[in-house]
Amino acid sequence: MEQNRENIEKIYAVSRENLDNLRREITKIFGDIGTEKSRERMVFEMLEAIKTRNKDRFLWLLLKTLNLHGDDPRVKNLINSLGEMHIPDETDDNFEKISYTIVIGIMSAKKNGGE
Amino acid sequence: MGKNNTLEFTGNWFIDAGILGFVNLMEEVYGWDLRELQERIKNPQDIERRFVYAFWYDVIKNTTFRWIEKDNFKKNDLKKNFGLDSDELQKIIKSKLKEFIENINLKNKENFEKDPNIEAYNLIFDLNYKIKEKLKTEYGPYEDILSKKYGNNKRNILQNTNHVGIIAYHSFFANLGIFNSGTNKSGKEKEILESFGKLLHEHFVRRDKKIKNLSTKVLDKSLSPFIYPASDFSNMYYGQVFTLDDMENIFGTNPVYYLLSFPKSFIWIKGKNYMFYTPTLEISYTINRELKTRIESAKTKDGEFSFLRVTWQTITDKIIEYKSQFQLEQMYVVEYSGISQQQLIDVEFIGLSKVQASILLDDTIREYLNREIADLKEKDRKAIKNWLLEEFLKNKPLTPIIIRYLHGLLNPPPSWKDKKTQKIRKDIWVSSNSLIYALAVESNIKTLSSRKYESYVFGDGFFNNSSDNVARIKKYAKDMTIAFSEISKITKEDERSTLVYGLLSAVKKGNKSSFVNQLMKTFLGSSETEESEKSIKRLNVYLFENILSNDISWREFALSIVVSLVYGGK
Repeated sequence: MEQNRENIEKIYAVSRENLDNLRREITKIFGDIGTEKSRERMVFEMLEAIKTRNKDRFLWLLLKTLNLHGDDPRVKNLINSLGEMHIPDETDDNFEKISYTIVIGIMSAKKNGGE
Repeated sequence: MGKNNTLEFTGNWFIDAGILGFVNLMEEVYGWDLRELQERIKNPQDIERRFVYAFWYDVIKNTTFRWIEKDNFKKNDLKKNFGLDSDELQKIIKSKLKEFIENINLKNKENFEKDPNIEAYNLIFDLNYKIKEKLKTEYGPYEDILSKKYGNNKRNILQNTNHVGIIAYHSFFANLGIFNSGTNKSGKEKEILESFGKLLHEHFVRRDKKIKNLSTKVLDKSLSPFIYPASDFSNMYYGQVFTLDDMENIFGTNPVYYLLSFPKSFIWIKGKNYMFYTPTLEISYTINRELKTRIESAKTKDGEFSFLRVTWQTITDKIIEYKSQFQLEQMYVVEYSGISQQQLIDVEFIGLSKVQASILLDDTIREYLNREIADLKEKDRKAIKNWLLEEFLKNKPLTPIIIRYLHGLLNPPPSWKDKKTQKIRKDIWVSSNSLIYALAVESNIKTLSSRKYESYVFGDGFFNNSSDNVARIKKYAKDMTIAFSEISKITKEDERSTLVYGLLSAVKKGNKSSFVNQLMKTFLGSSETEESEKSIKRLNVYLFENILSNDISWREFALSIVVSLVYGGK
């Protein structure tokens, strides 16, 4: 039974667990980045990018902001794990899952500070 | 009647329904409850004459009432010549006849008790004759203004009374010789009762001219529209058509009593005949008896809504009383809405699964699902209503019903509106909790059916305690309710009306991304206060857990947000 369950999860490249971790990580990091206003502007643009399934634009928006804080080891980790996800090659379905998870993570960040 | 002369279920629903009908019939006519009938049945001679009388009494009485309820009068002429309203006159005649028939029955019952040799057939003749005379007296004064409503509109009620033999017609047995309108003519009463006797004793059903070797004792459509006609059974080489003798051999009883009582096992609830069957006679009997009395009182109280509520309430009450969930899991519901051209209309057999049984037994969920919601589809310019609980028991998906309902609330069709105010009628609105519970039940079903890895016969699902389902549904409903109230906190009224169309359309199209996208954009700029910031946080979690990472039942969770926007969060 356990074996079967694992096999099924492997088929889905983005597991619930991975997404959950991603969301938490994003929330923590974005608590320290930018102002409420700038985050909202970015989120709006990201939502537009997801709507048109413009993966490049979405990644560009995300990486542009993260790049300003490249010294932070958490940001480095995050960029690494994003790299492992191969977002540009993902199916539209999975891209939507990952990108909305990121947006939800950003929106969950507290107004001035971390989670 | 088993071989040892007790009434018990056989395990075959068809015969058992007949047994239940038999018990109901005897109770209706003689007032015997099951216990008394069990005693009485030990005397087969007495039971036979009692059954013969009860069967005909019931048919004659019902046919008489059906006649009276037709539009017998030319309304305008009745008003002009007699100054009477046809509906009122009809009511008066009906109550007179009711009293008249009941009085005869009362005397006949006394006669049965007093005289063990009294013949049922004589009493039937007498009853039929007296009712005919009474009808003539009642309708005689209006002879010139009667409409022709009988025999393809060729006869009025008086002419029909003179024309037919026994006042007896039964749509369920329309194919049976005794109710054939060609045979049932004045002067032929004796022949009809004789052929009834032949059916009872010799199991003679009919002779088929088309199929030469067909037994005259055949059990086919003549005895019940639930069975095929014998002429459709053309592969005789492979086996013989089932006969009444076979039935008697298998079940050890005279099947005619039960076959003829079969329709009596059904209860008329809101335009449909229902039969609730459990594997033991005692429980089936108690449930059906209780249902009848409760439905009768619901009729007088507050109309249609309570019918639905009492039905499953009664059944579950009894099941709990008998501490027997097993009975519910073995339950069948058989229903049909009518018979036309000897075909059953809308006939359905519903067997309950373990999951359904456990959900039915939970008061909260059952109460919330025990509602009718209006549909966009119309019949006779009235909105069709879907009984959520029934649809659920039939394994039909509830989500499309709810989507159509929400759609209707946003763009109400004329049949939903109050004619004066042009607003949606009060009775159309269903509590938002009912919708949320329906959605929760639906997502539970989807969760269960998505468990591919439990496809073994004895997988986890088989041994799962059914209370898991109830707990899961309540958890889902709780989550949905939280989202329901949070979304109303962060949206303003004018915003809701623009948002709701887009969200509903996204759910309808199955476009998760569009749903999430639109919703998240409304979150932007809404976190003005600390309170609304918390709401958005909760909604974000809800979006992530139940919609984004839920491929199986995200639509149900998304709809609870739409429900909130339509209902204004109330």
